[in-house]
Amino acid sequence: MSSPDGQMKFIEPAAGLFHLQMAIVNLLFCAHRRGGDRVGSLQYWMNEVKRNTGMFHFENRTIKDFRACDRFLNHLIDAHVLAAVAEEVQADSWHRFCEKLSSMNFRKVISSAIKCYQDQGMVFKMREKTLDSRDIIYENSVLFLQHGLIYKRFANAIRSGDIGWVEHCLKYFAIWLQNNDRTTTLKNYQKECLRLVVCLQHIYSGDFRNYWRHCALVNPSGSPTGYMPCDQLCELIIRMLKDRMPSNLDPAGIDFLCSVLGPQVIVFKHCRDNLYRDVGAAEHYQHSSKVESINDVRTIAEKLMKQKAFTKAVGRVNYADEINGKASSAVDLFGLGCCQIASGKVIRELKERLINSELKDDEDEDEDEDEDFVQIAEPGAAGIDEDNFIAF
Amino acid sequence: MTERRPSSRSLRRPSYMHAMPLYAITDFSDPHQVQLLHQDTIKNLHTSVSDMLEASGLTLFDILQEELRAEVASGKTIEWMDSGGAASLIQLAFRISSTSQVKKTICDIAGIILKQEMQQLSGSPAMRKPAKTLTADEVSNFSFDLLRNEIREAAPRLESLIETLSQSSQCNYSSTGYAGKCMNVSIPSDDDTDDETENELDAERGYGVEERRKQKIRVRMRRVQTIRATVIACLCYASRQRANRLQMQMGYYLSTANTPKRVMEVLHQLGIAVGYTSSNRAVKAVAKSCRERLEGMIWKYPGAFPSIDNINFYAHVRDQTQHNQSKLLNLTAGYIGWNPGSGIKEILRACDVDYRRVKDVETLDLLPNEREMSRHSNLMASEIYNVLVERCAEYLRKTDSKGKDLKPVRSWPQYQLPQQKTIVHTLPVLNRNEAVVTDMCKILRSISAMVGVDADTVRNRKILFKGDYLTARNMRYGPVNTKIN
Repeated sequence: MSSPDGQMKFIEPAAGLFHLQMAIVNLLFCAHRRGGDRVGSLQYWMNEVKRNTGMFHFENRTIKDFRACDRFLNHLIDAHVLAAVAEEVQADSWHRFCEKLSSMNFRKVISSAIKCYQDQGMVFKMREKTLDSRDIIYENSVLFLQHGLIYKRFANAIRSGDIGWVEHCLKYFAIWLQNNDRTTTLKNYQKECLRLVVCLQHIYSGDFRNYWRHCALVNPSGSPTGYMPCDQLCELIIRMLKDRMPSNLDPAGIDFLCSVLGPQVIVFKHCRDNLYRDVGAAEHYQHSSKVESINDVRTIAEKLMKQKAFTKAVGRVNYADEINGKASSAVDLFGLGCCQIASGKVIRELKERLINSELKDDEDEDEDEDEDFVQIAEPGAAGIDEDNFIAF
Repeated sequence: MTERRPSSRSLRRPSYMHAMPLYAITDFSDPHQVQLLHQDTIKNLHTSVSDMLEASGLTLFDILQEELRAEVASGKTIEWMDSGGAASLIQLAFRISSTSQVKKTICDIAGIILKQEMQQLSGSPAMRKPAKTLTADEVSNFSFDLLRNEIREAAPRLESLIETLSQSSQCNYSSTGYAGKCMNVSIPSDDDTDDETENELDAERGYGVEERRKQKIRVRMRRVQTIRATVIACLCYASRQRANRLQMQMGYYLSTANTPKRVMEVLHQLGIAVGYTSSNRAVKAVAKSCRERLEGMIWKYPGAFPSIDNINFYAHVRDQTQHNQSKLLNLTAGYIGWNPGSGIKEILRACDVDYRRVKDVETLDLLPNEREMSRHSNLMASEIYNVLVERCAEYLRKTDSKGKDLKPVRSWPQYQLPQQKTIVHTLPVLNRNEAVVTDMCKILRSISAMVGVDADTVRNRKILFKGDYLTARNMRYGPVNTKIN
């Protein structure tokens, strides 16, 4: 009989939100990168605000520097929001925008902006029409705005510890990840995010869902905006450990690392912090001051206002600065994702996968009750492909 | 200010004498005259005693010594000595004749008293910390305030002496009535303080001059108190090597800060920290206490969860790049976290996770419903408002056209976690590669053993294990593919 300990049935694995956030940034970069450094592409905006284009590997479609990508994405989203609001107040330059904003009720402005852009399927409907009656620039800008606001909410909710909003955003991410565009397919997180959403909605009981909510985020500092995903803390612990690993790590060093440093690496930090606080010593190297980003945001927002990115112009296929060709369209993640889900294929595959992996195992356990042997699966064994043995 | 001493001549040879005794002419119904009579009687007595001492060649010391001899000691003299008489004698001696001999005698006596206190302090268990008994809680919660309290309790005069010695000539930092005194003195500025920059910062923070002054005094006072405690702890360490509470903490701190061995040895010789060997022993002891703390943690905190991730490290190479694959080490690190505000009372049951319910999932469940779309409008509004506040707050109007205050657009709270500090206990690093499914099984088994989970206790229970996608996927493979008796 295979015991529960042997099979470790008590374990319920769940992927952390930090790696999911990285996957979403990757997805957004892929969806909105568009062609090379043409006007409106991500590379174009990076050059405009003099950011290092190496933060994202455009050929392999992978993130090289997550923090830089996250910062850049946030600035670009802010600029799009400002440009969209500028359109609402009928302003075509930064000065006019500020003038108009100071003379208007901002609640009404925001309300009218939401009415224009809240429909997540609006671009999908627009794209059903012929090219002559479409405005590609407007569609791209609206898509970026819609995607960006959800991403911002997700990141803010994580920081402030509102896990309810995180769950809300997860549902949208699960839909986005189901899109079938070749350039924006992230197979791993496509399955994982959907699985998580289904687990939270159906598989987990109310108590277990509550348990997940209290395990998804951690707050090591205790500050109101100090929440972070649990896997991000794991990455920080690994960084602390790596700081203490000598380059000439030998077997004895590994033993010391494993048994002595590993269990107390966080105690090291607590001890240092406690002593700094207790004696009132200045903590050097704590650069908490933010770099002023308004100039970058303003530069992008002004460009968008100048290009009238949020003004619908039927038949527009490119930016005013680009004379030749047609601007490539951003991927409508929500629209394509909804189509895939509506086709029923996603649900069917999910059910097969979960039934095969989880429920079949329960049946096996019932059948093998009298068996009493040890068997560890090896690469190539049934049910495990070679990929399982390759580092992610 | 010293009191002027009357001359012996004026005492012994009064300028005016009258044959008629004073008591003969005193009106006893007048209290003032009675008091004058009493003073005169004492004066006459002093004169006669003084004359008698002069005539006999004895001194007051001889008389006092004789008075205090055991066989003749009267309770009254001893009582007088105990109730401040002895202290008055020493003060009088120091005031009248502060010769080097008097100073030496007083210092010798003080030395004896302070030595006794020092012995008591250095022998106290609070000042002693063997390296092998150090725990994670002790090193994380060490406080100079506690150390000061211990010192004050065991050696109050020693602390008072150090306090007196460390008082600045410009500012009195005595602990009694300190605040009142400090408010009226000028604070000497530190050499490394940039007053101009601080003034600007204070102006930005809205601090007034008086507030800044008080804050500066508080900081300085705290610093002085810390130095005093350190000095006394170093004296204890000098007198007895086992009185090493502060030195052990500093030794551990130096280890946490990656201090080189040679630096640690120099600081050890100066009495500030224990030596490298003891520090190393302390680090191992804390590691042991950390491992012990993990045992049964899942049962102690039912809402706790392990989270693991892989460490990829290239040993014996200059750069941590993927070109050095042959030198790649794959280890696994992790921690157990617990949010105190979770309110979960027991480990959840296996029936709380029922994969059979997947059959009920429908297409519409994965698409946003009406309620979610309404919530989404609030999401967009609040995020647009946040951007406007962050980027152009000065242009946002505070009131509407009718003069009513405009409320900010806030996001609706959905499921706000309480403000809390997560308890995090790191796990020992495992020399296993989580990307290999067989290793993953061993990793999970090791972690389960560390936190006190065994076959019987976890039957029909479910514990969340967190990680990245690869970790979660391989964990799922582990239980499915492993069968062990």
